[in-house]
Amino acid sequence: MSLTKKIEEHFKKFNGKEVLEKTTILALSRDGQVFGQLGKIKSEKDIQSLGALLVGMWQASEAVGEFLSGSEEKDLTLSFQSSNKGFFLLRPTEKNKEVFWGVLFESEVNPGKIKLYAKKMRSFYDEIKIIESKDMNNTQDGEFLFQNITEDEVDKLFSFAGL
Amino acid sequence: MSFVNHNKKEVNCKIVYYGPGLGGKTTNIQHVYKKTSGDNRGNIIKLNTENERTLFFDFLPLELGEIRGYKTRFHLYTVPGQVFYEASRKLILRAVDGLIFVADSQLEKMEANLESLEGLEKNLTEQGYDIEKVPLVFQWNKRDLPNVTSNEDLEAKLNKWGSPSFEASAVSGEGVFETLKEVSKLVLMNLKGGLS
Repeated sequence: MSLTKKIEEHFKKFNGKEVLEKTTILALSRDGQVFGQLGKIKSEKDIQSLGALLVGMWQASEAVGEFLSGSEEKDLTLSFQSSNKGFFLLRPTEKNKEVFWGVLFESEVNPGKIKLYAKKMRSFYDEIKIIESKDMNNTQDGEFLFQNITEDEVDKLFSFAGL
Repeated sequence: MSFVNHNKKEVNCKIVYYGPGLGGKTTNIQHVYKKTSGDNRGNIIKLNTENERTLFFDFLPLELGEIRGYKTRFHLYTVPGQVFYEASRKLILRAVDGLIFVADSQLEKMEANLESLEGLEKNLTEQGYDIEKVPLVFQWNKRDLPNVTSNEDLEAKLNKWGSPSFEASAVSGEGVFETLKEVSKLVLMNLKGGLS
């Protein structure tokens, strides 16, 4: 089973319908690719933009954090929130070292509850060791996926722009 | 890092527009955005300063058509060109799959082009990339202006690797898609590891 499929399957199993009506949870790679999503925001394009923004923000914060001395914190959270809406990011765990969790919520009188829920979910996913899975299809090794792509094939890819 | 989803038959890749400040990187992706229907692209995200200069990055998710049964999705990023945003540029280069170096063709901008290209090489090296192995395409932008360096000079001074290059006037859209198509092809042909 592929990584994304695996995450989707696990997301389906996870309870919390009430929470997810006003919350969106994203599993993100370090470069902003969305591995899996759950909750309120459904638009694929919005999700992609959120992935890029959230991870960009995390990376910038991490770079700022490098100016701080002392031992590395194991459970950092980055948040931006008012009393009832906002978002936060949870850092990867030891088991899923490259997976960030982005959580957006609104109309929530108890944001602490959402944070607890998100941490519980992150622990839940530790069981599947997402990034170390053999099904991880990043493109570091192996055969080329596409060989000898022709100009016609490239033209077809861009036909939407009337070229 | 590119990502292949075999169940959904999708490939996802990251392309970064790099180059000196005011060279036309944002104008490139604005043109792509304008020429692309809502079905094929998401919203363009711009993190700008008050005077419309790129502060962190611009971002445009773009869904191309299918190739050999795989839907292709490209994430287009620009870096901030101004010299003092070096730290941001480093971050945006992480996990890059392909690069478009947008050079400003104006005579007086050669030094800025060289400085930016040096920075690119350095930043890639620091992150463990070999510039010769990353799909890279040069764009000689602003060819519509009167006071420009010749193509030969631009090639000689900037394109040490003999990478593909295109003349462009991003403000009118000329050369924008040609450049993007070329880097897309190189990136797709560079994808590995998906067929097991």
